[in-house]
Amino acid sequence: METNPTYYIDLITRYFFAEATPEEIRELETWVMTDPANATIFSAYRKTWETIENDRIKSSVNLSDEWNILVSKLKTHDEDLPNAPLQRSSSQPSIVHRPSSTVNRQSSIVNRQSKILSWSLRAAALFLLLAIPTYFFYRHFNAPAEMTLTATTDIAERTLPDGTTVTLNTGATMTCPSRFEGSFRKVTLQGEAWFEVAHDKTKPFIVAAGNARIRVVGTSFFVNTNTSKANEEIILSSGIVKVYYENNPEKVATLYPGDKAELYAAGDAIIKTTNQDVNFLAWKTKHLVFNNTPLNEVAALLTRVYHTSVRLSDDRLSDCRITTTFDRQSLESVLNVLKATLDLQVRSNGSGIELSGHGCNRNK
Amino acid sequence: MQKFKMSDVNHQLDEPVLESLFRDHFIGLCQFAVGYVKDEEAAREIVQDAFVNLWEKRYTIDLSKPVKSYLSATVRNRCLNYLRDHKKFSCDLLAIENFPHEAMYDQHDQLVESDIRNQIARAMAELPEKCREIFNLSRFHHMKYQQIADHLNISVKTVETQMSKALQHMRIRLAEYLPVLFFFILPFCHFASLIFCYFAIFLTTASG
Repeated sequence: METNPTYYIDLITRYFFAEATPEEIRELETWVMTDPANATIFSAYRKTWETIENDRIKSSVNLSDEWNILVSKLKTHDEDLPNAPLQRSSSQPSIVHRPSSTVNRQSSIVNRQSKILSWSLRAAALFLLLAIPTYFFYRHFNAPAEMTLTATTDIAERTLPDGTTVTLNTGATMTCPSRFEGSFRKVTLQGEAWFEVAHDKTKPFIVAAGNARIRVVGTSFFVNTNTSKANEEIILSSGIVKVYYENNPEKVATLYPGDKAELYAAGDAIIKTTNQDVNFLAWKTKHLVFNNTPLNEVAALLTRVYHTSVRLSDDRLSDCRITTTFDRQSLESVLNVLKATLDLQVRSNGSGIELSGHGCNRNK
Repeated sequence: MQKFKMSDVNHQLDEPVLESLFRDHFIGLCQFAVGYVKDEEAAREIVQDAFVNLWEKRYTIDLSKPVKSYLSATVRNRCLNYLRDHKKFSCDLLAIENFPHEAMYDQHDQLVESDIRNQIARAMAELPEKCREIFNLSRFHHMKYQQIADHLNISVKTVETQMSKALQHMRIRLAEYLPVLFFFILPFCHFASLIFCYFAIFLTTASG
């Protein structure tokens, strides 16, 4: 059933919002029971939901209204509920218990005092027992809250607590602590992102992407964790970047401006080349440079930059090449230029845009 | 109105006492019940009925025991009946949710509570607009996925995706507040294991 990575998160959500069917609840139970890790996820969601729900109930319930509802219910249930109950409270039939309860009350005062003392002692002991290890626990893990930045529908630009700016491409997720403590600044990344790291020699900035580690002191660079060939691709624009694998920190590759490094999930190879792709940052700058570029590459780049699928109806269209520059143009105007220059038809359907035409058989 | 402590109630249960109990415990019991039934309307009804039940049995129940426990137990049983009647009951469910046996509300710290409220508001504000709208329709207007989809003219699948996105976001943003709740809610008997755990961590840190 795990075709969709968020399948169980959706299921958990549905469960808490009372949308799950009995069958789905059973499925969720099985999932939770099979793995303690699943149980942890489930209980984190439960606590989240509970927190939100408790807060909402607290702010939405009107106690006076609810009390009136109760009173009217009691009246239908119990005819002798008085309209002016305070006056009748002395005649409540609990006289039988009165004498014994007075005695109880006196002895319970003494009882209660010793109880309070013993409970406060217990509380103090507990506090110490908990507080000391907790202090070390937190100091050790140095755990400021984790923030997750996700670019869902558009690219997202954020400034981190240290002044570093990060631009995430659509689909990218980055986690970083809410404040940087300790001797380095570490973030984790999945997807494409552009970093402009604030200079701080004393605290290196580390990007963790899978097993790959990128370590800089102050520079700008691009990271893509999901390329087709390599697992991580790093392109440097200014300064110096050191790249290595987490499990082999001795073997470091140093990149200089214009360099590109490719890292792989398996193995420890770091392939260092000169970056050839002038458009690697086009998704951020919307600045597209085409130099005798085949149309299939153009379409692929447009798809990446404008987050709209652009396809060719026919592979032969790849023979068409184009040389031009677009700067911050809308997809529509880019397509209009292509249409006019290469004599194409542009068709837009539900799932994207399709380019068709009779090709540019120059070589044949 | 005089405030009644649990231990003071064991003499007689008249209307002022009932009202005091109601004002002190209604919200907490609703929160407790919602944990089970996941439906605020149903939870309110159950808690209301528990108070009706308390009133009807006011001469027969053993008032030397805390009324709160009595109310909690009544609410719990009625919640389980509700789940059974809606075919949502199973023993595994109770195990995975790890419900407390009693409403734990009165241990909440006011300060922590207002902190949490602010944090929820902040986290909500960070949600994309559409996502927040969907989440709010569910939260404050008690709309089902299908109703939200009809209302906004979008697919149920989209509602579902946005809802779980919203909950995921809240989970991350509330994460730092949850351990606090954990400390308060944890049943007493678990403290021993927790302390043991802490010391183990403490020892490893000290040596490392």
